[in-house]
Amino acid sequence: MASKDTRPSLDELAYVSHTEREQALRLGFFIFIASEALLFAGLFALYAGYRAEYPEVFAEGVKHNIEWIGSVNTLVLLISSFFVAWADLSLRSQQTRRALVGIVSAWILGAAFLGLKGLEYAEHWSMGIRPGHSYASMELVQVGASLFFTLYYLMTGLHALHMIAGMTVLTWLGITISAHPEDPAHKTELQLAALYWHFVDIIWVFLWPVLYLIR
Amino acid sequence: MASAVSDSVNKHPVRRLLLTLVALLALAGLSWGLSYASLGLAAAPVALSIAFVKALCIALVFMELAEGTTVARGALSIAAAFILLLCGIVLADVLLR
Repeated sequence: MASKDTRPSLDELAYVSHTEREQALRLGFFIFIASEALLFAGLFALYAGYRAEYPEVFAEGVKHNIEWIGSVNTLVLLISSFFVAWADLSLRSQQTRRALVGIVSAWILGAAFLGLKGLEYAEHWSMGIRPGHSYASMELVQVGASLFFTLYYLMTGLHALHMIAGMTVLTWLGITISAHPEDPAHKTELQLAALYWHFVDIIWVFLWPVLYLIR
Repeated sequence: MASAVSDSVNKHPVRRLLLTLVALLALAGLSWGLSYASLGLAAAPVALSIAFVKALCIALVFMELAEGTTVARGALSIAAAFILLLCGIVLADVLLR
C-alpha cells in the first residue's frame, strides 16, 4: 500500500520562500529606518540641549518661522501618508489603477510640501536669516539665534532631502508599475517605499511642534 | 458594541486607513490649538506627547507594525530604546547643570 506523500509541493515551497524573502526585506528596511531615526535623534538631542541653554532666544527663533506654512505642511504630509498606505493596500489587492492614483496623489502632495518649504526658505532669506556670517544681518544677532537657525536649516534641509528621495522612489515605482502592472515584485517594492514615506512623515510630526509650535 | 466596530474596521482596511487619517488630522488640530493655550512649562511635554501619539498611529496602522513580525518590532524597539537613552542623557545634562 503506497503511503501518502506529505512533502510540500513546489508551489508551497515557493510561497514559503516568497513570504520569508518579504519578511527579511521588511526586517532589513526596519533596521535601515532605525539607523535613520538615530541620525535625526542626534539632531533633536542637540536642539534640546541648546534650547535649554538659550530658552528665550530659541522661543524667539520659533516665532520667526512661518507657522501657517509649517501647519499646512503637516496636513499635507499626513494626507500624503494616507495616499501611500492606500496605494500599497490597493496594489496588494490587484487594483493597479487605484495604486497609481495613490502614488501620484502622494507625489503631488510631496511636491506641494517642498514648494511651501522653499517659500519659507525664501522668506527667511529675504529677512536676512542666512547661514554663516550672514546671520549678523538679522535682527536677532545673539549666539543662540544663529544656533537655532543653523539647526532649523539642518533639520528641515535633511528632512527635505529625505522627501526628495521618497518622491524619486515613488516616481520610479509609478513608471514601472504602469509599464509592468502584473509584476508581483512591485508589491514588496511599494510596501518598502511606503514604510520610508511614513517614516519621513513621522520625523515631520516631531519637527512641527519643535520648530513652529513650542514658543 | 466596541468589538462590532473593531470587526467592521478590520474587515474594511480602507475605512481603517481613513479613520486613522481623521484621527491624525484631529490630533494635528489639537496640537495647533494647544500651542495658543498658556501651558507654561507643560507646553513642550504636551506638544511632544501629542506628536508621539500621532507617530504611534502612523507606525501601527500605516506602517502595519501592529501586524508586523516580532523580530521587526524588536528592531524598532531597540532603536526606540537608544533614542530614549539619548533623550535621558540630554535631559540629565540639562537638569544637573
